[in-house]
Amino acid sequence: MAKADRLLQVVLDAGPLIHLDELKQIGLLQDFSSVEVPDAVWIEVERHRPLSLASPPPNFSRHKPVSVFGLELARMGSALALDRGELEGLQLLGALRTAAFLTDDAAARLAATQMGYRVHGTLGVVLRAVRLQRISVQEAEETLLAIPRDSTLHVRRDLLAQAVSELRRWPGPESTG
Amino acid sequence: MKKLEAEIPDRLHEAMAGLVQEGWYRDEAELVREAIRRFLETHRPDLMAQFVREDIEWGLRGQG
Repeated sequence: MAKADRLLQVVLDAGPLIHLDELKQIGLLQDFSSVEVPDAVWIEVERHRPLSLASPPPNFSRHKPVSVFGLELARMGSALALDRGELEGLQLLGALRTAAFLTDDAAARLAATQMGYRVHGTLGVVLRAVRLQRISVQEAEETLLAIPRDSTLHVRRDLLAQAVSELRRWPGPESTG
Repeated sequence: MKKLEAEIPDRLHEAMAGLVQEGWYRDEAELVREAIRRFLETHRPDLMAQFVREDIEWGLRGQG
């Protein structure tokens, strides 16, 4: 496993944390150098999945609440109807500069992309775990197929089928160089 | 025009009612229409499909 792949720092929105916990794959978040969790996200996840944060992994950091947002971010948040956790996450990205944003919310993803940040979702985290040889292709496929049954993550069926198809055709870690 | 019925959690309804009471919206129906319009703008099927494809690409062939 390439060391450089472990160095990615991420800011976490509630969605991926909740969805990965529902899919029993929350351990995949340990394959990031650090997972920065905005205070509003921590509170939201504690409300929906209290056990998922009962013993947070050592690479998790909970940040302090934010009282004031930058003007650009406030305008973006209003235009795209972002929630407080997403706003705090985007503010944190601005401070961390090289971190990526993990979110499954389309509006939050759009905002982060427009602001120039890297963004990935739960699906990407599961597939990345195969690339990093953290889980097998079979386990990843089972996880993807469990999404409609076991999680509150909504992915169109044909897109999920496409993800499974590409996973099955994946030639292996050597191909990523 | 189509009429819809939906159950709204008390907490959300209180927030809605507050915005209407403060004068930000004429009534709750206007607020709901605006909320749905904004949601649809940011959840276009083509956009969400693009996000999924980007995740597949990064997951299997990306860096980091």
